[in-house]
Amino acid sequence: MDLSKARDGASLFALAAVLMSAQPVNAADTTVTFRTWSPIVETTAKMAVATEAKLPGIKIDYKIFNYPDYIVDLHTRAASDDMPDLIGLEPGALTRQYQDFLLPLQDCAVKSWGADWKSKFFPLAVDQIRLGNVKGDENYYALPVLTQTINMWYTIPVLKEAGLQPPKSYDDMLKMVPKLSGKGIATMLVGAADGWERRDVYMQLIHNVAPGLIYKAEDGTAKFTDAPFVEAMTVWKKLFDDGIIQPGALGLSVSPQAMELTEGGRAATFPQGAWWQQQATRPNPPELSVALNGYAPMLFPDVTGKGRPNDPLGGIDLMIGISKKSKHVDEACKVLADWVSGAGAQELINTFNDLPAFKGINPQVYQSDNQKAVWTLFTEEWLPKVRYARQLKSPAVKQALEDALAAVASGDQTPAQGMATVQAAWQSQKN
Amino acid sequence: MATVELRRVDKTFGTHQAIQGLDLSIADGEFVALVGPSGCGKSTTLRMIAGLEGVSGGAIVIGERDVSHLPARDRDIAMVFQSYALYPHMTVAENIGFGLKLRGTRRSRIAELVDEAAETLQLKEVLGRKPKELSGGQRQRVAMGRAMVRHPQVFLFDEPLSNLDAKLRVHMRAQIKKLHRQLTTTTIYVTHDQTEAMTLADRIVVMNHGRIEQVGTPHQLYGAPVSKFVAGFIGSPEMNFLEAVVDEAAATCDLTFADGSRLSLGEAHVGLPAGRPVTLGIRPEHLHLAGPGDPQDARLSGVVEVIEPLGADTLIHVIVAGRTLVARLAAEVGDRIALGVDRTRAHLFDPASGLTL
Amino acid sequence: MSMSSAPRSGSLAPYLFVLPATVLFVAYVVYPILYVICSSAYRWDGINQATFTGLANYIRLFTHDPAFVLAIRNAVLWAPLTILPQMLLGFAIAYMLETGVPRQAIYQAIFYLPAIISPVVVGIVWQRIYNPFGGLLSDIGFASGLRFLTVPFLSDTKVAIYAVIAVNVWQWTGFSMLLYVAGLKGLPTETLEAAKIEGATLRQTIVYVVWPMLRHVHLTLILLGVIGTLQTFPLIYMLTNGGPNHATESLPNYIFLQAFKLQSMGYASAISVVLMVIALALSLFQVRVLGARFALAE
Ligand SMILES: Nc1ncnc2c1ncn2[C@@H]1O[C@H](COP(=O)(O)OP(=O)(O)OP(=O)(O)O)[C@@H](O)[C@H]1O
Ligand SMILES: [Mg+2]
Repeated sequence: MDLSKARDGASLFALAAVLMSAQPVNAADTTVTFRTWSPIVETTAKMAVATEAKLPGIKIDYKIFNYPDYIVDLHTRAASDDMPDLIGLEPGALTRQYQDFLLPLQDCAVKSWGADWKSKFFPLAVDQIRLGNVKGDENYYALPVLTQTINMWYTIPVLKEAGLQPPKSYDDMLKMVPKLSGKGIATMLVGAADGWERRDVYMQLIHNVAPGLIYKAEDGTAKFTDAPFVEAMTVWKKLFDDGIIQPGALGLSVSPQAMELTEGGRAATFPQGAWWQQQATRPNPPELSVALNGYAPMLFPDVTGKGRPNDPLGGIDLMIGISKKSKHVDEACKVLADWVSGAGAQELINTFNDLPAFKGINPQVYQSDNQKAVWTLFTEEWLPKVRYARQLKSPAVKQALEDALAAVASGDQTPAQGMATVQAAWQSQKN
Repeated sequence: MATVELRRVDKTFGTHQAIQGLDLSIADGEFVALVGPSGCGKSTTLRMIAGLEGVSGGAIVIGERDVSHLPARDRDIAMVFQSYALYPHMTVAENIGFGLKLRGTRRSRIAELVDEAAETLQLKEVLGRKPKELSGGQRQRVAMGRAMVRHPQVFLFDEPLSNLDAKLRVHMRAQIKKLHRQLTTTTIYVTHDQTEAMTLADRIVVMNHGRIEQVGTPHQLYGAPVSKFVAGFIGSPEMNFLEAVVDEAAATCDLTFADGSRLSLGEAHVGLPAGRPVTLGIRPEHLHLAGPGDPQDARLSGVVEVIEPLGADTLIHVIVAGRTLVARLAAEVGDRIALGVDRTRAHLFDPASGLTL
Repeated sequence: MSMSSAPRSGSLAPYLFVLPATVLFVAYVVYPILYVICSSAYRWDGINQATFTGLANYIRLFTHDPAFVLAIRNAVLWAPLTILPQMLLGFAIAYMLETGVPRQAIYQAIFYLPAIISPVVVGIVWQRIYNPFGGLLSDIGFASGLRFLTVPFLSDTKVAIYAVIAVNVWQWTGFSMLLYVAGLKGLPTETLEAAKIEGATLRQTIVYVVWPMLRHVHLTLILLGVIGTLQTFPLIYMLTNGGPNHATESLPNYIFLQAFKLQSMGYASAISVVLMVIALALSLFQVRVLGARFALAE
């Protein structure tokens, strides 16, 4: 070995040590690490500042990935036993996968909000934390930060100009088509290249045809091949064939293409959740999105012909868990609680990123009456009533459903064949 | 076979005039060499004849046809490049037969002709090889085979031997000469090796700065150069030059050199005015050790500085009148010798224009 | 060399010299391969307890997985349909630029541009171009009456893979062009002139002289193209994410889907093993049949 090289290395090391110790880190500070895909960096930064101000002695080290990168990162960290203190999670399969790395958080919840903590959250938020739990496991492996609804929106000036009302039934939509298509406007603009968007539409269809049945199929007490599923699938196909959904939808991603077309005034209605509100808070929003003036939410039109109103669907958008191996469980709990209901939460909610999980937090500033009306509708009328989860438990079934929706829409499979492949996927993941 | 005629040919590259008003007439079956210093326009001239460069003015006539504006492929010429320019992916046989194939010659006929060429050039053993598996000399012969197999009207050679070692060069020179005797195809041959030009060519064209300095047989150029430039270019070793002034021009031509020493040229160059500056040119082979037959005023004396033995004979460098003269003589370094001048072979040039007086 | 180079018996030196390379090879090649082969015999989500299932993953792969079949079909289509057009178009553009366009460098830069654009942007831009609802192609199609341009390229399961391939060709033709430009510049001028003098027409010059003399460029492009085929991920991920219904699925995209989104690391490993075997077979083919003399001009 070349000794001079070794000495160089040593001095470099010493230099690095000096540089590092020169950083203005208060020795007493505890750093809590956070990794996630949501919310976006700008929002997280504001939350961190607000929370650090409230919790002296705690520093928050956060990193935001896009979703695919995040799951790869999480996977790698789990494999090398290097989990962050705070872990961004989705209810269901993702939480289940990392369950062994997660600390049950009911103690943290009690400590933060008292024994009746559950009553302080919207019901769906509490229910869905345990979506991925094995039967009999009563633990809460995460606490919800943001919730969401899955619904439809309409573009107010587009309908007004065409002399139309928000559609309430399939027929209403059908009648809109000839009035809009000549103007290059989609009756329902769908970015159906994204599996989750296809699934969101189908979830609203199936809950219109047979509310709640899909969870029975997940549990094995009903079959995905049962008539209501095929019926909902048939309606899905008809939406394409009747020109309600715009041509080429299967090749269009939600972000940014479908969103841009929507904001360009080319969508009469479109499936998006409560998160669509945040369009108004982005820098330089297009005209329709300014102060959310151009949009209003609506329930999915009745497609059964029975005039049955659709229940809003929804779920937890983001929940956060704490690593079992965390060396700063108390601090992590404090940060998390602040993000759920404290100063951090207020920052988050101010961005209209999505709906709160904790009751009673509202944005401090509304830019318009419409924005306030939309917020109130979501938080006071719909959210307390949401009973049905957006998520499915099994990733394999979810994927099969998304594939079947594409196959049926493109005409490669009949609705019955499509649902048969979903049932087959359910069967094989059960084994 | 054909005559080749260049009529007032010009060539400019951008603003640079590479060839200026070139006139040249080459007889059917003649072997003409183009020589001249680097950059004088030899290749450009050849490439214009080949059709690889267009002419900027004037005309090129091959046979009776004005080919100035015909593409290369319609001129019926063949060219051998310095780099040989063989097709690396083809065998020797394919290389030689390529031009025939392009013209749609029958395969059996191609095979015959290739065979014939290979026979002449002693390439039969290597017909199946690729160029990279050949020696330099073999590659050179393939390039020649490729040219001759088509029996073109004119052969053009651009320094075809300069990539070969000296021995092979001499050998190939003989081959080319033999080939030309057999085929009697009109040939234009560019070289900067004047020995090559002298031994091969019927006539030599000496070029300088894009113009022709002189055209003539090797003998004419050697014996009667029109300028100091041609005189210096033809002959090896190069002609010696000495600056001098005419001091007595009545009956004989007497010269005085810078150091005051003198030389009388006798009656060879009478008629020059006294006091006129001239450049004396004398070839090394026209200097000899002065003997009793040499008049006192036809001698130059100096000290031997360097000896270059060449085997058959020896070159010596002698300091005369402050300049080095080369002579084809035997002597010892340090000897003080007197050189006899072959006065009828001495040349005088105008120092300003370089033209022969 | 006059020095004897036989290693002295008992000397460790020779082994020490190869040690670093060996360590790297084992750490970066052998270990991951063994790891993947091993995982492919398990039912495993990548995080939690794995269950040994023997060849079950492979059986499912080859008998029950239409998406895998599509991914293989797409690779088979992808290789020739990207490599050949990219070579021919790249060559044609390079040849035209090289033989008669002033300000060549500008055009080269323009043609090369797609190759340096991030796949994210390419995906977004081409979705937009292909979108029959107000996209560029369909607008042109409606305006000009060329109805085939109004096809929903990315949403038709029969057309989508060709639409994606076309984008790949668009993106990488400039790269082929660049290699061909370099190759053409390296061709000896005199050889091309010799062909001209010998009477070759433009077509004959290209077919008999220029194209064969660029053999090393062709081989390099084929090699890179095949590697690219087996690694096609970002473009497909951004443009179609393998859809609709796996019609544009690629093996890497499918591996990613199974491994991370569907939490089937074991199954994804089995697909990886298949991919590895294909890659190995192809590289053997290339070395043996085409000869590994890429990039070395003869
Ligand atoms: N394509 C070209 N563009 C610009 N100038 C050129 C070109 N080809 C030749 N020239 C110039 O024309 C002049 C004659 O060049 P040419 O190649 O004919 O010289 P040459 O006599 O063959 O020299 P050498 O003995 O070095 O081969 C030179 O000054 C050269 O720089
Ligand atoms: Mg030259």
